[in-house]
Amino acid sequence: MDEKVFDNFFRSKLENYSSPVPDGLWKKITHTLMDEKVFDDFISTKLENYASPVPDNMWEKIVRDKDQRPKGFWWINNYGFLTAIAIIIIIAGSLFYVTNQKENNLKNKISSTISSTSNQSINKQNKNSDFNNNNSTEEINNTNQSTITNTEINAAPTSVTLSRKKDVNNISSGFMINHRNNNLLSFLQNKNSKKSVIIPLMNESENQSTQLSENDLQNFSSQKNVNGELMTLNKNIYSLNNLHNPPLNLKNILGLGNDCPSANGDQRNDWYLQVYASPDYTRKSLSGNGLSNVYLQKKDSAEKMSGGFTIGAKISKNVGDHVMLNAGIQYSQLNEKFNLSTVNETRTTIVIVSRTVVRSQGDTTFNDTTTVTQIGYAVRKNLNSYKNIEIPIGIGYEFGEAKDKWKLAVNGGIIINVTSWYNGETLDTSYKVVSVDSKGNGGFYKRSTGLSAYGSISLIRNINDKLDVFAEPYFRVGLSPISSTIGYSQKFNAAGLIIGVRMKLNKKQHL
Amino acid sequence: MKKILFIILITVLFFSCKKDLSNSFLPDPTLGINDTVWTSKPLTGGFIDSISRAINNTQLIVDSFDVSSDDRFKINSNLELFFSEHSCSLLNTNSSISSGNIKIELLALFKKGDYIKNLISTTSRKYLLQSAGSFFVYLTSNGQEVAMTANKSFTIKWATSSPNTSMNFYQGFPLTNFDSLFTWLQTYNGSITNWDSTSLGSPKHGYQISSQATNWISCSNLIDTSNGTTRLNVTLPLNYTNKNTIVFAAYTDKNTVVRLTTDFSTRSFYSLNVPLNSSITLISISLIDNQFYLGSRTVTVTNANRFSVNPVKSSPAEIISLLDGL
Repeated sequence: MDEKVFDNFFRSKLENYSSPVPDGLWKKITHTLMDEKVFDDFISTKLENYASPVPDNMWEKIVRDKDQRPKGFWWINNYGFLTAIAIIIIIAGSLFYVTNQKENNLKNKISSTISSTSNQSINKQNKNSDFNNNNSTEEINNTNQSTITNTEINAAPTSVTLSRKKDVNNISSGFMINHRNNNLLSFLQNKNSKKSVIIPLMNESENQSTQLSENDLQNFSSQKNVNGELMTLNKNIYSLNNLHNPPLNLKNILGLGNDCPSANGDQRNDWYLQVYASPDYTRKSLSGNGLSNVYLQKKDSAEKMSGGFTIGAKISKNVGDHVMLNAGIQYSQLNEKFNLSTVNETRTTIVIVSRTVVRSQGDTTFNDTTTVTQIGYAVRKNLNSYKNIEIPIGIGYEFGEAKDKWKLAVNGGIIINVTSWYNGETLDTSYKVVSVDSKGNGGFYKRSTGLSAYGSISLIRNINDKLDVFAEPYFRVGLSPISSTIGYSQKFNAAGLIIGVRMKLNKKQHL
Repeated sequence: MKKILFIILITVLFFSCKKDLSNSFLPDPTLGINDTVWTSKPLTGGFIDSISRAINNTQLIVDSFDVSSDDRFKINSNLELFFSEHSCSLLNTNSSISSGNIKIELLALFKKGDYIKNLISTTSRKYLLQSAGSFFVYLTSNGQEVAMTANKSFTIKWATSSPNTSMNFYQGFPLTNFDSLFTWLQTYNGSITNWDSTSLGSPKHGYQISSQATNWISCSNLIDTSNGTTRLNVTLPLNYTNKNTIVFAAYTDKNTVVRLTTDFSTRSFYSLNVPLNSSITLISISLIDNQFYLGSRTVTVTNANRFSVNPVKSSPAEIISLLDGL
């Protein structure tokens, strides 16, 4: 409420007011009660110690607003190695973009803080709240709602401004983080040790002024604007926030260089154990390496990938608030149906038949082991399996806060194939069915180790402080081919839906 | 509850990966190899002809002579024929042909392999013969078959290293049963004589047939069975039946070849009156789906125990090579 509104209010109330005027009253009023100076002093006395209360969730709003900026966008074509590269680039780009936006928003907020401080300074005179009492939060909130009419974005700087004039205890109450006062305080004090951010009031009260050091006060200057209001400027605000971090600070990109303390207090330091399983849709690409097309077509028509599965466990660790590094071990199995139909297939079966030998002394019957050969149509079915022990190594970026019920994350990385072994059958170049059974480096296929790239998007649901569940559509692209002894090579790609649980290993809890 | 569902999901994933193994095979019913059924009927002539055409490379000697004069044909240094003048007459007549040329077609069988190539046994009914030579003589005049005039003979003379003095004259009689083709029967339409000569210091021995009969004639005799005989039983894998296979027994120490008879009841091939301790090479020739199969095994027959022969795919050339080496 500004001065004009106040005048209008009194004017409307008193405009038509009439009362019997005692004798000599007007004279008395004129000389004593209706003295303008007395009225001004009265208002000043009532409002000079007023500080607008800080809402409970004010700091959370600040953090949320800070993070409610474009996260970037991406397009995933889950096919091919280029997509994996693109996702990694997009993740890196998103991180870079988010980090830069964070800095820009912080600058804007600080600028608005300074301007709104001057605009709203008069409002502080409307109320006289006890800010030294940390238990009066609700009352303060109510008062604040009735007095502050600006937008929410103006309210935030107001609280910052008012917090600056308080002592260290009141600063903590302003953030409403009672049980982490010490951590937050130390964080702020560290900042202040270089350049003070505490802004004193233009009219310091006795208690307030005594809790500010002389050095702190020297960093501020007060001046009146054209309307006669005091403006408080802190040159260190600009120097602190504009010049503190260079635009391409790697710590900021990785979420390490927060200008503001985390909503949870200090930096997130979580270790997770992920246990997961995934049904996989698999595909195979075959390279002939000079073999005849007829053979390749015959082989390709006889073999059809029929899915697979992956099970494994990972250890993941956050780096900053959003970046997660993870590594683990997993077992993957790719299944393939071998279905070969051939004509003029010869099958010889050993049979035992009962025969009779005619002898002069009498016939003799005996069991004769003989063979019968048949030629016809043969359909040979088998289930080939490619089994791998692998080490996935990846990096992910989680959107949202650690305590959020739902989070989204994008992940990418490589999968190192430690060892493989195979079971099943295939067709050789003479169109005969041969076994591919092998283990290690021996057998039909030459390679047992290899490399794949993967990308995924995780949807994480927080169950409790210790447990999350997640669903993670993913794809992987084989980078290393498996070569056979007869010349052809094949690569495997897969896509699947990982379902798993994520257990927090460290004891520290987030709010 | 969620944990239970998770465990169930993992379990289902594991057990859903059961191996899908199956090998189905459907025999082609149109292929003869898949027909393991024996027949109680005789073999078809087409089957016999197909085998004979494929493996019979014996040369048919064709020549002609003037009927009005004596003619001597020297086929090679070891074989010659002699026809006296006016010794031929049209078949079923007794009037001799007085002039003109007579076409002669001669097939001579000396070795065991030759008999097998022509699918002919050296048996007289159920008794085994050992043969010094068999001949097929076919005479025609102007396309009409001719025979020898009564009391007229032609002679076939050939050399051999150690002629047997107990040889007899046999004639071959075709049978309607293709399982046997024909049998040799001793007749009096001819005679066998041994001859010796010394020419240029090189002694020669041999036989001479004097025959009043044409077509199949042979110089043979029954083998010695004084030490006892037995039945020779031979079985083959089930694919080889009496519809597609013939089996021969070639005696290693005698010029004797016998084609085994099929026994439908026991699904086997057999031969009777086999002398004990005979050394025999069993040879099976099968023609199935235009593919030849050859089985060979040498055995000594001491009793009626069964011998099995396992044929393998072979070409006609391979069969001929084996037969030439008998």
